[in-house]
Amino acid sequence: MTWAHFIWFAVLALAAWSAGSAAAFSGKGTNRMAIVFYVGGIIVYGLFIGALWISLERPPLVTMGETRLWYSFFLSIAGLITYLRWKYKWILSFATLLALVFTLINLLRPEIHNQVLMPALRSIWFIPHVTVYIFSYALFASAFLLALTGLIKPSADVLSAIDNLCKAGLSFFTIGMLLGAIWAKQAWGDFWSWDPKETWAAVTWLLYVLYLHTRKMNVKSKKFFYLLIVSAFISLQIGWYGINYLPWASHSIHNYSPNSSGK
Amino acid sequence: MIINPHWFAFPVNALAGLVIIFVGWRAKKLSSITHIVIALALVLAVCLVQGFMPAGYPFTRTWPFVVALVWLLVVLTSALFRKPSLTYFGLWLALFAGVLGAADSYNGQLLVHKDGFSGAPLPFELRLTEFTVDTYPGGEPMDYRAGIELSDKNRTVNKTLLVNHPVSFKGYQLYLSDYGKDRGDGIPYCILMYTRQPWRWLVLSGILLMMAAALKSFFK
Repeated sequence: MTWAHFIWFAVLALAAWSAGSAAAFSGKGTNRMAIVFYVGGIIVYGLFIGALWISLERPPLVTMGETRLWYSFFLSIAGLITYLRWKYKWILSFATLLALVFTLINLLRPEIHNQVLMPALRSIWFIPHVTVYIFSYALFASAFLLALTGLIKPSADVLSAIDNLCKAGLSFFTIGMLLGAIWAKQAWGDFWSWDPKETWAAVTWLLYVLYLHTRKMNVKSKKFFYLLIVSAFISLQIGWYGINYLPWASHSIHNYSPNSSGK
Repeated sequence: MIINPHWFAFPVNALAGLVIIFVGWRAKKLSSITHIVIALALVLAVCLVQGFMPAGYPFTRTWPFVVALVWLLVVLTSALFRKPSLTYFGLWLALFAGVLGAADSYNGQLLVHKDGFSGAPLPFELRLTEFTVDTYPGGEPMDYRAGIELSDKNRTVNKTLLVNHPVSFKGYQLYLSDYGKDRGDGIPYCILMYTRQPWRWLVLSGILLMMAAALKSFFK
């Protein structure tokens, strides 16, 4: 299995997800066929990831392209769970759209360098740290989709759903951050160095923490909360890959591409 | 003005810690949700500034940054005295130990070769006994392995240093940072980083408590 085969799996998964998204609009409550199609798409995507893992002989968690695979995978799972739990008909469509974006990027830029796991990444902390983070990203994406809904359709009652997604997302995000801190002490000598990725992780963390705290205050404006969620999601994107495009942030110790300071 | 953390070396940092705890205990009003939000927003603001700082400028060691963190500590202390919370306590402990502990933390780089080392004075002897690179079938590096010999007046120990596997000796932690074939004299060497962080176990405890709190939230 190589990235050359990805297009077949991607097309199949996206077709299944699109069918599922469309089916969600018919009938009352959650639609059986929608769920079946959606799960099918998830399985197809998962099969590609699994096969790639076996052929690389290391977890596909190193390159940006590989992390995007997991993101599409976990995002669709989170989207399905959100649909099952809150039953909004358009959740599957939005989740499919997000998965499509990251899949398209992967089709255009598969990133086949760095085939093996370099010494710096040979650690028991590697898989838990990255996967827990990616899972939190998926939950926060669901919250972001709901916040967009709230902004576009003010009558939508989405705040309590956003609360629940943020609480779960923040638990995963915090665990990911702390696993990173423990690993950093083993690898770099310090729990926290305020490098660009860590700094933006802190900004993201604080924004979601602020959301949950301000929800307990007497704030009348729903729009304030939706915008806070949108800001937090933007900050998350900056910390995840935005820093790779900021010229002053390319020295980050988290940068594992060749000719960087990452060890 | 850049703060040199060592100005606050023990017992100054411990005294500052007691002041933080005392103020948090007495200032009941700081435990309100409004104050918590303000304190978090202040830390967010300085983190945002840090996010746009060019490489090299030590903004995290300037007064605005440190004051924002210390203020959050005061507010958290006040909140904890009113209502115990595992999450707040874990964060408090990690921040408390991290911020105050920086005053007693030291690090630097060492160049180590078969006859000894240079770079900083250490209370023990250290030399490189061997260096190997394990490779993948394709020739790419898989692991860097440095055999080092550490000795003081009473004993000599041999340890292996890898990336992600630091070594401890006499309160110092040693990390494998880089290596080279020779410095023009044919002698292979390693660059090690050493750290001394007496407060690290407290920071780790805070981290573990925060993780416990995050895991606990899944079982509500």
